[in-house]
Amino acid sequence: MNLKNTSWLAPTFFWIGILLIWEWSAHNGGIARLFFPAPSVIVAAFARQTANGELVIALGYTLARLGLGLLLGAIPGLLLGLVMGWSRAVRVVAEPVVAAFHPLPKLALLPLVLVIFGIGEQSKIVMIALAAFFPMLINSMSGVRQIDALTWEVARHYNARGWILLRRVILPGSLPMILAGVKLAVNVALLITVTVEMVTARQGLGATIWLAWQTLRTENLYAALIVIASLGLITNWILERLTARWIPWQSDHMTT
Amino acid sequence: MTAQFQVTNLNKNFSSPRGDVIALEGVSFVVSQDEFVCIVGPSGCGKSTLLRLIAGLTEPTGGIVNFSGWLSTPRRAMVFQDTGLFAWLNILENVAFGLETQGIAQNERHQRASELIARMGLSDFARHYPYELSGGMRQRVAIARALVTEPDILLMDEPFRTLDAQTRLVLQDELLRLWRERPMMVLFVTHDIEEAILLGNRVLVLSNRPGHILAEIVVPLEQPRNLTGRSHPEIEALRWQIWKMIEPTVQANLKRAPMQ
Repeated sequence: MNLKNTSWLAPTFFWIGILLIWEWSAHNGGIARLFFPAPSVIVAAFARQTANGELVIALGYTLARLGLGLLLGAIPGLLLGLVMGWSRAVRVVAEPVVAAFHPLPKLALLPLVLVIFGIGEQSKIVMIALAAFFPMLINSMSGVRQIDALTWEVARHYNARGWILLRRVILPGSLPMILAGVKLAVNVALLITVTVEMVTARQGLGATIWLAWQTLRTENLYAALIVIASLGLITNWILERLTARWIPWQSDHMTT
Repeated sequence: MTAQFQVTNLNKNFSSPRGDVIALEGVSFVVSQDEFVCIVGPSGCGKSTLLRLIAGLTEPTGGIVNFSGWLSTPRRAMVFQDTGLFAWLNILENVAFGLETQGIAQNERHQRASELIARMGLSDFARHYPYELSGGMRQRVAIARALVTEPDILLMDEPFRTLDAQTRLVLQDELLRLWRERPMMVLFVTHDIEEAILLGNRVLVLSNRPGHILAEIVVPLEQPRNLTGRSHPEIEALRWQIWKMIEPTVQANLKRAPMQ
């Protein structure tokens, strides 16, 4: 980092100022403490719940559900998307079904999923997988379809078939869109995970938030929010790095 | 009998919502082994279509594409107008692509590709991606990708069209050198009359639409040619002669809607 660069100074002081005003107002009755507990109280709650393991366990549940749901949803989505992008016949058959299910808010399916899979872990994983499936499918299909005609012609001219066609043309040609799809899938899966945990779970970050609300322990609610926000930030950061590493031919990633 | 390549009475129609377009009509010519033939014509005359037919990338509506006198079906390799390099493969992998699809092991294909990359003066860029190269370098890579498969027939679709005049001159010289080092049949499509005369042993003049052959001209220049120090009065005369042939078409083109 360039030490002479001072452009970070102003925003840092600005936000520290905001926090100080918040802290001061909370202690002097300027704002309702129940809704906006002082930052120091939130940090204390966060530290306490991290130390006694509550937040760590909740994070563990959420991550496990998120990970499993993503695997079960995004991988089939990727595969079907690639096949639909590649084969016109499969696309013609599958596209109406996809078009009908994709815009449906997946949460609307929750009661049905609960009826079919029960209140346990299965229904949660199914909801997360459903949410991750469609963005992955749509993006990998468009990824294959936007490979330009000249690229296909070159591949055909050199008789590229099967594995070589997949590895040298289709996968790398659609990779930027596939990775954008992964990002969409991860974000929507996180959203669904937390929501489903609020409604049907005893453990997990969503359940923690819900319990904190019901018992009016708002500082615990904020502490869980900090974890969820960090989770989102970290996964997005990792995906950005992976994109830069895996798509070295896109010049805008070359600066890092 | 020398190996040759022959098209007889070739026709190609395209269907479009506004009716059929006849791209080529009654095109016949013969090219012999190791001949460098240029096909020149105004834009939209079906030159590229003709080349794609010969490459087997599209089927003719009528007529015959015939290869006679070869031991086996001659290998054809095409150099595309906009290079068609894969953005996601580095130069070495791009050049080796045609070998990879033939199932040649990585060691051998990288070695063969490296040799050709060296001949094109691009050894320092083998691990670069296409976007890191200039237009002229990219077109060299595209030529290397075609040549590495050791084709019997090299098909070139306006390969130098997007290059600046100086770069083009250098690449034209290089192409003739490569052709002298390893003779093969070359079919070179261009809209640039001068380029056609400078490169070809023979020039086929195509008119549009429907595309048909207006004339076959034997270029009276000896090989090897020195393009950089050129001053050939006969070129000027030839250029004028060809221009007179295609000028009416170009004039007509300006007065009608484009095909697409």
